Amino acid sequence: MSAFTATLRFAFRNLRRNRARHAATFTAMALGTMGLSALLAYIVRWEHTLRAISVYHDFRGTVAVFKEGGVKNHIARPSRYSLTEDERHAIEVTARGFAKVADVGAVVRGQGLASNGKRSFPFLGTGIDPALQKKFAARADVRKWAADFTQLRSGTQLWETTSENPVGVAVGLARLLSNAGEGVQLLTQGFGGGFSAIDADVVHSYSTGVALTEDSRVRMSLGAAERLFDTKGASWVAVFLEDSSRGQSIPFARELERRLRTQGLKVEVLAWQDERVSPFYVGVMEFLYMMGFSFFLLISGVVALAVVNSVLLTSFERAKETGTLRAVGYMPARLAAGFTFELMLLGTMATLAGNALCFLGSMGVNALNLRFRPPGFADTVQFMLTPNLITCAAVAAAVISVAALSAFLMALRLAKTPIVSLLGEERN
Amino acid sequence: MLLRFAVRSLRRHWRKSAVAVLSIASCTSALILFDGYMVDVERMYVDTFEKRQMLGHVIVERAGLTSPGKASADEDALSGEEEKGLLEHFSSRGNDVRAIVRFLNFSGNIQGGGVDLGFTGIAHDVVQGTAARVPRFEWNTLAGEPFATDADEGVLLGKGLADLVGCTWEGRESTSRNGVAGYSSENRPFACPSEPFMFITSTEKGQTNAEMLSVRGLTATGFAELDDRLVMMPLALARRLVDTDRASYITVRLSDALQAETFARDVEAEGARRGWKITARTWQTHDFGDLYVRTMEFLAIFRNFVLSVIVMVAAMAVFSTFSKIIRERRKETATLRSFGYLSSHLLRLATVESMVLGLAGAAVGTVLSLLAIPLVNSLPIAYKAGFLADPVPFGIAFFLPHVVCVWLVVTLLAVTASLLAAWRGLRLSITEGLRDA
Repeated sequence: MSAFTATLRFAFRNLRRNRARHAATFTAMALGTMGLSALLAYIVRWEHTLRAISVYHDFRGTVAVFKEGGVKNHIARPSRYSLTEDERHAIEVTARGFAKVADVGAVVRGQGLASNGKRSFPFLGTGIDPALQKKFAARADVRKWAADFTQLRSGTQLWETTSENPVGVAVGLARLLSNAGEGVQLLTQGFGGGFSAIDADVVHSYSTGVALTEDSRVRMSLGAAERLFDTKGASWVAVFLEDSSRGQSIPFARELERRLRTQGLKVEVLAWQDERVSPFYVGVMEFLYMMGFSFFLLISGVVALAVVNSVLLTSFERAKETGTLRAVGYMPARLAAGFTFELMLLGTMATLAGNALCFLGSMGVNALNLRFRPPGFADTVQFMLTPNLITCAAVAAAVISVAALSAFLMALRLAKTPIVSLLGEERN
Repeated sequence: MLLRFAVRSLRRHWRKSAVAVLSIASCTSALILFDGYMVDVERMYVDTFEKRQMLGHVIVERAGLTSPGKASADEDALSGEEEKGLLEHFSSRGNDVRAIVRFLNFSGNIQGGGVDLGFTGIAHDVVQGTAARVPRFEWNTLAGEPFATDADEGVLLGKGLADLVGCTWEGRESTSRNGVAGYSSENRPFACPSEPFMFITSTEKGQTNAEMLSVRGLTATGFAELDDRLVMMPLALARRLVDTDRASYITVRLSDALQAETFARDVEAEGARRGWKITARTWQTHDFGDLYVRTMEFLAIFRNFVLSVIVMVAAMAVFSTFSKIIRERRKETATLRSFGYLSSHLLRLATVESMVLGLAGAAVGTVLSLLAIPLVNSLPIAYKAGFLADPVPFGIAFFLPHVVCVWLVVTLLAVTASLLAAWRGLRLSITEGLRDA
């Protein structure tokens, strides 16, 4: 029998023998694991949701191609910072040349005044391809993560109407105009500088998801936007990959920009995670990461102390046992390995139980469809926990490491104590 | 006597007592630190809304608006007559009122330097507005200088809008950080090459009006979405531009914030008496305060979740420690019971012991927190917080009433855990106790 197997068996036997002693440590580690995994499950949910919103709902794409300087200036100076028709075409062709590109769509965005004949309000309008919008609304990830944000408040989708100039108006602006469902006149300065106006049909009201933008947003078909802003170009071209994770989007943005620049196009290509295109995503996730990190420190600290507490008590109780083992010839290193294995085994079982509780609890919570309104959001969303194996494994690894380290330090302490003291001392 | 007995027992089992104190101290620190973070966030929001945005304590506007706080110069806004009556009423309250600020919303286009952009205008009383921003937020420009008198001409541009129309300023990062805590009173240089700009808007009667105005300074509300289209100007200038005597809403800062609800009810009663269709609300119950309310609710959900986990983990640790102490004292307990001590006596003893441990742990945890808080606050940590444009400095406050609550919670936790452990120990008969120990 190898030393490893013997140590493992020794650890198992000790765990079985001292079940009552280990129950509290087990429970503390299991609860801590459950709490930390649930916390990460909440953060993971928002990462997925905000990704779906940013990439598909807001039409940023996995990467967005702007004219150089256009990210900041495409609204204020469209004549200089929007893409021309030729540039738009060249970008679309180049992007489609990548095997991993699933879709490409131009976006026209500009601002103006929305009027109901009596009152006018400033708006920011976005023109998108209704066919692509329809395709994205049917995607499984969009339906799973962003269903709360894609449902209309009233009316029909842009792709369901035969209207020549269909527009959707954000609920706040619809309230201000007090005429969602009727016609509205949109007045703007075209990308070329001339004044332009269309009589638009309000086919639906929708929520942007963000309270601060609810009273200023309009979305319309790409054709209507091209007519309104008098352009065949685009504010940006959105390129969609099947996988929009950071590992894919950032390298792809670099590669696409390199290829476009070799064609002489002065463009900047930004991954959707860039703060300049997704400030809401960055703001919310930084807030969640900061809070998550604080909680992680607090919960881990308390769990670590609970483990240390238990290990210390065990060391007091097992001083005699350790002394006896050392007296019959056990080496301190072997004893330390035994103690460490014992706590690692306990940690493994506790983290398995904690993560199982987290998965079960999440299923229960998700089935209840609890709704709440996060800060700054326009409406309620489902409180959803989505634990995954990677985050649960990371939490388990952290908890087991803490347990192993505590046990190892305790064993070292006992190894340094003279055998006579261990056998004779009454430790209170 | 019980106390002396308890202290003696704890001293005799000092190692295990120390372990229990450690568990309780860690629980106390975790609760104090997180609650301190929440208090700090709350103070930041209160300062942002109450002072920086001059919302004071009570907002008075037309009743029944579909979009409260967003009325422009039309029948949704307060009329000149209503405004006059309200100001008289506020004045009659004497020292109860510290500042009264009238606001007017308007919108239009800003033109200049090849740019034609829509803007959202907010005009307000300058002198009263400054009084409403005291302390820390009187200087409300990150570059340039604030308005000084109600007769001032010129505009303040939101920093996002300033960026779009080509204005530049120095020290963007350092000044943006100060926005949350208030800008230092310093006229920082900026340049808007295309100024003066043409501001085009519609009058109350629907006619187009325009004025060329210079940029006096650059400002920020704290919300990027608003800063991208914000133009601020003195109320008198905006009224001339929009040709109106209306006010979208009036805010009142009181000497005593606790009187806000009563004051609001009094204003509404006065309005009803005079036949005005007005409503008066605290900013927390107004649409303006929605972000604050949601954020605090959101943090409270997290706090309760974390609190539950921490308390449960700490409870297990304390329970485990007490179980061990009680198990080791079976013989001692059985001896005492054989001398005539009742279970209730021993439970009382356990209660006193655990209270001493609980209070000692809470004290140690509080001291640790008091050491950690200044350290954390001195670190230059700032993070983006959702919609807030400026990075928020990470801070932790020490709020004594909440700390007292934490002490109560952890002491109760220690007592409950020890009673549970003691109750289990007392289930043994005296003979078993004397034999098993």
